[in-house]
Parts: sequence; structure tokens; C-alpha cells
Amino acid sequence: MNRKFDKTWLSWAIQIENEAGCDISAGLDLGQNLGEYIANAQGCINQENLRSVLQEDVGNLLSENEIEDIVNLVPERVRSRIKEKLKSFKVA
Amino acid sequence: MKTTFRLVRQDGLVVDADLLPLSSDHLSQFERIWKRMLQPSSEHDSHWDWVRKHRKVSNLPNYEAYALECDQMTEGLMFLECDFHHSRLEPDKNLVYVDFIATAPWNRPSIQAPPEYRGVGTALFTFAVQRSFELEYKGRVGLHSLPSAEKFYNTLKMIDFGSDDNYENLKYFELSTDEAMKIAERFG
Amino acid sequence: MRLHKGGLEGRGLSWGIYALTRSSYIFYIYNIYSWEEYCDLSQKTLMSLNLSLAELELLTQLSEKKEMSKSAVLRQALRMMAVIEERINRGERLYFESLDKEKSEVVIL
Repeated sequence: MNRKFDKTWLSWAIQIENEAGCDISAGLDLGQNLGEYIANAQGCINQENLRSVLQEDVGNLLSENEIEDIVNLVPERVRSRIKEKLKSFKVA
Repeated sequence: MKTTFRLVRQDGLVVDADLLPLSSDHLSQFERIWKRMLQPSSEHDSHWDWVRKHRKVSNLPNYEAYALECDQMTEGLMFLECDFHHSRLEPDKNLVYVDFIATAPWNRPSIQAPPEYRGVGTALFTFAVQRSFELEYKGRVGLHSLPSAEKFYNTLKMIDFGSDDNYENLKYFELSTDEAMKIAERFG
Repeated sequence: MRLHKGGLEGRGLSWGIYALTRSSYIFYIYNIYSWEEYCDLSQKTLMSLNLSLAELELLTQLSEKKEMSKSAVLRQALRMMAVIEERINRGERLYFESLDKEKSEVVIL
């Protein structure tokens, strides 16, 4: 049971950790970070799609600049709204 | 029960570290030392309370709690769930699920470069693989990675199942038997 | 069957005694092993087991399906049973959820 993890193991471990160059962690508990994470991961709506929808539906009412403003504003608003909604969610 | 690993200290010296069942001393060091460093940080686990987490699972025989100790200091912590999780690669079979794993703040490249000790996280993960073999799960290990650690599990050639809707959208990774065998070759 | 190794030293795991309070064998294990011995998987106890043909067949099926030895299957089953007992004792309920998210409670008497 008490197996000695020797030099072969160690050189492999160091190689893996150097290659990854990041922290080593896992676990279902993003807590207060959950909102930000989900917002960043999922809140990024496809700006190209949004632009084409706007151009098609209201392109005759709004200028290109106005559509561009909306396209730039929406993802940020979506992200902050998701963060706000999930802010109170906290796992032990 | 004690399993000894080797780590590389910041000054290049190779030192021994013991992987032990979690004790009140380890939790106390988490409270007094880790927590003070983590709480003001932006780490994804900065709010984790290992004492509370341990209280929740300490009477449940499917959970195992471990600490990696070096020079009387807790260098890493890990909880394993050993009975209820099924493999996604081989759905009939069980695996060892890494419920929580974290290294001490001073062993994280994101906080201290170079880290105080290298090899801590890999030692904990290797132990999970070893437990999987002991339980006759053939080395299968699964986990939900924190976003900042995904690259490590990719480097280990774990299968990336992508974001999991049921688990805070964290990415689920699984180590196959084939890859586990390759890791096992490193420790014979 | 006696598992006594001498003395009542050391600590054990509370789940062991909790899960199988009706079993004097397990109660004994709780009392006689030190913490280190208790955690050491190499310290296993050999015991014989009486199973009906149907139970043996079930064990064989599980063993083949999971590609695990019969001993490993039984050890896992024992731990799982202890978890269920402990959580039910805490006042929690056990549910199964179907693929269409319908939940059905497993009634444990």
C-alpha cells in the first residue's frame, strides 16, 4: 500500500504541470463566481446573428450605426443581468 | 495508511510528502493559513470551506478525504466519492469521482510563481487513479474542473465531455482505463 | 466468528458501527482496529458467506457487468447500503429520477 512514487513518477508529474502551467482544482462549487462564469460562458450571444436579425426586421427604421450600437450593447446587458440573477446563489 | 510522494521545492530540492487521511490538523491549517490567503483572492475556490464540506461527508462511507502533507504543512486537499458515480465512457462501470481537489495557495502558479512545491496536484490526482485501481474500477476517474484548471486535465489526456448543465456548467473530464494504465506505469 | 485482535485501542469510523448496528461482527471491527489499521486496505478479513443460488447468480451478474471481483462488488454494496442508511437516518429521502425528470421515491422501511 505504501508505494513510493519515485523519480520516474516525479519527472512525469513535473513535466505535466509545466506543460499545463495552471492551477489544479476541481469541484462543484463556484459559489459567488458562478454568475460571472456562466455569464462569460453562455452570455455571449452571437453578435452576427443579432446584427442580421436587426437588419432584417428593423433595418428600414434604424441606421447602420444605431444597429451597431445595439449589437455592442446587448451582450454586456445580458451578461450583467445573468450575473445579477445568480449573485444570490451560493453553494456551501 | 500513508503514501509517500516526492515533490520539487522552489529551490530545486526533491522532498518527500505524505498523503494521509484528512485530520483535524489539516483542517485547522486550512482555516488558519489557506483561508487567509484565498479569501481576498479571485481564485474560483476562494470561498470554499473545507471544514464545512468535510462535516457534510465525514459520516458517509462512500467519501474519502485526504491531505498531502510536507514538512508538517498541508499542501493539498482532496475528497473522493468512490461508489455512486458511473463512468460516461463505460456507463455500466463505476469510477472514482474527484469531488473536490485543491492545492495550497502558495503551490498555485496563479498566486505564486514559481510555486513553493511542484507535483502537489499531480500527486493527489495520481492517488485518485491508484484508488480507482484498488477499488477495481480500472483507473477510471471523473471530475468537474474549475475553469482555471481545465488545461491540466487536457494535458493528462482526460476526455473532455464539455460543459455540464447539471453542474454549474463546469466541464466534465474523465480518465479512461487506457490513459490510467499509462499513468500507472509511472508508479508501477 | 471472532475477529478479535486484542485490546480496544484506537478509533474507528462511525459509519461502520452505524450502518450495521445489528451486526456484532462489524461492531467488533469498530472497536478493535486502530485508525491506521482501519484505513489500510491491505488489512482485509477473510470470511465465508452463505448465499442462495439466486443471490449468487445476482452477485455473479453484477461482477461480470462491472468487471469487478465478487469481493469488490460486495464491498461496494456494503458501503452503498451504509450511505443509504445514514442518509435516511438524517431524515433525507431517496429518489430515482426517470429520463423525463419524473421523480419516484424509494420507500425504505
